[in-house]
Amino acid sequence: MEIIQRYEDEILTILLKGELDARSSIDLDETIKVALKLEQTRIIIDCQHLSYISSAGLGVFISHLDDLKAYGGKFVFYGMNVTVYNVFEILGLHTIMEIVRDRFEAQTLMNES
Amino acid sequence: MKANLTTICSIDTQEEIRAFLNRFFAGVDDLTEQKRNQVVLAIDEAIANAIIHGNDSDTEKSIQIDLDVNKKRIRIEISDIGLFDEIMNNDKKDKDLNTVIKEKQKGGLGLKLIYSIMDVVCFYTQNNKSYCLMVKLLK
Repeated sequence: MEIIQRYEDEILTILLKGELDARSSIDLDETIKVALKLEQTRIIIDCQHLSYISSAGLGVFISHLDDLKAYGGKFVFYGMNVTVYNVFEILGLHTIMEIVRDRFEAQTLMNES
Repeated sequence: MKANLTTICSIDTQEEIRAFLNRFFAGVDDLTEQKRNQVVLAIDEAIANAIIHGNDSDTEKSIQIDLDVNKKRIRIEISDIGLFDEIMNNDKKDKDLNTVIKEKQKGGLGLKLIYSIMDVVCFYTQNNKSYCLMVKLLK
């Protein structure tokens, strides 16, 4: 899996390309830990090229949720395909995480907070 | 329709295993794409548990996945999962999402996914090996 980061206008965008499983979630966790150290806590997750997610991938986002909130930040996800969204749905995470359709909506939602 | 796969206990193998499972289940009638993705996810979760928690990612060890499909159901058996006692003594299938978030847990949702997706899930031991048996009903 590829993890591509872009930081602009005080928003960190993390683009995930490929499959987020037990192996690749280790790299994503490290990426988010570094972002937190740099106080980059407003994080948009670009899921347009994310084809698969397992509980290990979800666990990374869940484990950092409260830390982001404490710093006044949050995750906003966009561009999820049906397969990935369905995994969030099965666990009820779609009601807890902020998931929108596209980049514009993600940016708008992020700037509202 | 039957197939089996034996793999070393390494999470590096999981992407390849998922590709194998997707190819196999693509040939199953009465399994929608969404259900196929869910079944592959449940198997992936069971394998990750077996590799990481049951066998400490020991590449000297291996696990076997047996697939058996008929018109009524998909039957999946995974061995040696190596974590029979842990599975039997915890309540991860009923794990509360808010607790997982509050305690910043990275794990604990795999079993919840497995139980949500599969119609039958059971763990058992036989001849010093531990097994995970999962069944998904078709139609």
